[in-house]
Parts: sequence; C-alpha cells; structure tokens
Amino acid sequence: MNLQKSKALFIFLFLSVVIGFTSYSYIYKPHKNIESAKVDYHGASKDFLKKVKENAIIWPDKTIVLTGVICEVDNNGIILDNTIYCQFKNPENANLSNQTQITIKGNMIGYDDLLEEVKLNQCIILK
Amino acid sequence: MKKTLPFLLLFCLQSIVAQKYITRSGISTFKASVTAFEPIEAINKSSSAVINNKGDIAALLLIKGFHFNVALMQEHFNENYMKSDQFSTATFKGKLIGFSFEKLSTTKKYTLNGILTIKGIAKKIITEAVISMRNEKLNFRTTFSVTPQDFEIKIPTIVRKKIANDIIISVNYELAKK
Repeated sequence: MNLQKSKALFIFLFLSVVIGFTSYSYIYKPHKNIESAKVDYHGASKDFLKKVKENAIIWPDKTIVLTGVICEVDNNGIILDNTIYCQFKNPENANLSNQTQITIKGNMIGYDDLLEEVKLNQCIILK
Repeated sequence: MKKTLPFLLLFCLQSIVAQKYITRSGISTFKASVTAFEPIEAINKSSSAVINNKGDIAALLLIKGFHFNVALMQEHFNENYMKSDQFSTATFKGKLIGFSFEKLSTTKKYTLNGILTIKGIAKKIITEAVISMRNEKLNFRTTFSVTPQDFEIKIPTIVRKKIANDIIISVNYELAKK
C-alpha cells in the first residue's frame, strides 16, 4: 500500500516536471537565430528586388544571403545598390565604406513601397 | 548672364522642391500591457518616414519588423492579431498644421492630423507632435492611442484581461535631409 502510494506520487511528480518543462520551452522558445538559420535565397541584391516585386507575399521572414555594393552607410545599417536596406544585428558598420562589395545574411521583413526598398533586419556580415 | 539665369532659377527651384527629410530606421513602439500581467509591448526599429516643407508626413512600418521579448508573442501577433502575411504594412499619411522648415531652430509642438491604416482599415488620428532640430537632424516625436476594435482585431476571451484596451503607440524618428 505504502509502496504503491509512493509510486503514484513519483509518477505524478515526473509527469508534472515533463509537462512543465515542455510548456515552458514552448512559451519561451527562442527567437530565430540568423547565424544558424537555413538560407532560403542566395544571390545578387539587384536580382532580389526583381524577385520581390514579382511576388512580395512569399518573402517576409525568409533568411536571405545577398551580395551587393554598399551605396550608403548609416548608424543602423547599410543600403545595397539603392534597393536593399540591411539593418545589422549588432551595429558593426564603423569600418564599412561606400562602393565596396559585401555579402550579408539577414531576415527579410518586407517591401517598403514608400521608399521603394526591401528591408532586412538582424543582418550579419559574411564576407 | 542670360544663359546662366535660367539655370540658376532652375537650381533654386529644385532646392525648394527637393526639401524633405527622411528616415528608414525610425523607432516605433506600442504598449498594450495590463499591470500584474506579463508586459505586452513591441519595438520596430525600421520604420520609414518622409516629411516635406509643407508639413506633409508619410510613414510606413513593416509589421514583421516588430520585435517582442517573447518569441511566441511575436508569432501570435503576426499570425493571429495582425495577419501580417496578408497585411504586411501599417501606414500613416497626414499633415503637421502650420509647419515649415524655417521654424525648425526651436523645439515646437504641432497638431498632427492624419489617417492611420492597419490591416487595410483606415482610422483618423488627431494628436500632438513635437519637432526639434539636433545636429542637422529633424527629431519627430508623437504618442497616441488606438483600440483593437478600431482595426477589427479580435482578442480571444481567454487573454482578454491581459491585453489593454487602449494601445499606446509612440514614435521617435530622426530624419535626415535628403
């Protein structure tokens, strides 16, 4: 009797821990990690704008790797070929200069039709 | 001289027409927190905005650019509340009453009138905006509140008490001359 009781208690505690842990990790799951995210598009920044204009709906939240020429640098990021605004995950653009080629990996957040640009955030520099 | 005059005029005209300030990394936040519950707030650091000499202002926010501390909250915000796959942007078009670049040297309050469009639904906004000039940059700040019902955002009864009915939107943009 006593043994059975403690067995039941043990199972109950075990299940609570498992359920607690699963729901905690579901509710507080981590944000997308750009470093390890699978790449959905790889190419030149100029071609990417055309792709986005063809069908803008499928691109948000996709992980994009782009190569292009820097045409403007600001406090938060860079603009590639006048078409793509890339905001850095950790602003590290102090040593970047205009007219140099760069390859970045970032998260696409959408097409901005006010400034007619594609926007990426959480960008990291690959090359 | 005869030839240079039209050119000069053209040049002057262009500098008047082209006077506008823009940003692509403006900071917009919203708070829908209820005391005693987990804070519900998000920040968008990639808001675009343009202000011209007449005080016309246009702003655009990408919904996917909002960052929540809790990733699951961000997912629910995009999928259930904002339907951001279908409605990817929120826009604002309006006017700063009595604004002109000449008055920019001092910090000044203006009445801001405009239309906020979220999920394709337009709502008229009247609020106050503060504009100041710092290091050649125009600082634009405003705060106003909206409700989920304004934009037909349905909140399930189970979380109804955890989300405030007045959602406070704050904007702080630093615009550079273009």
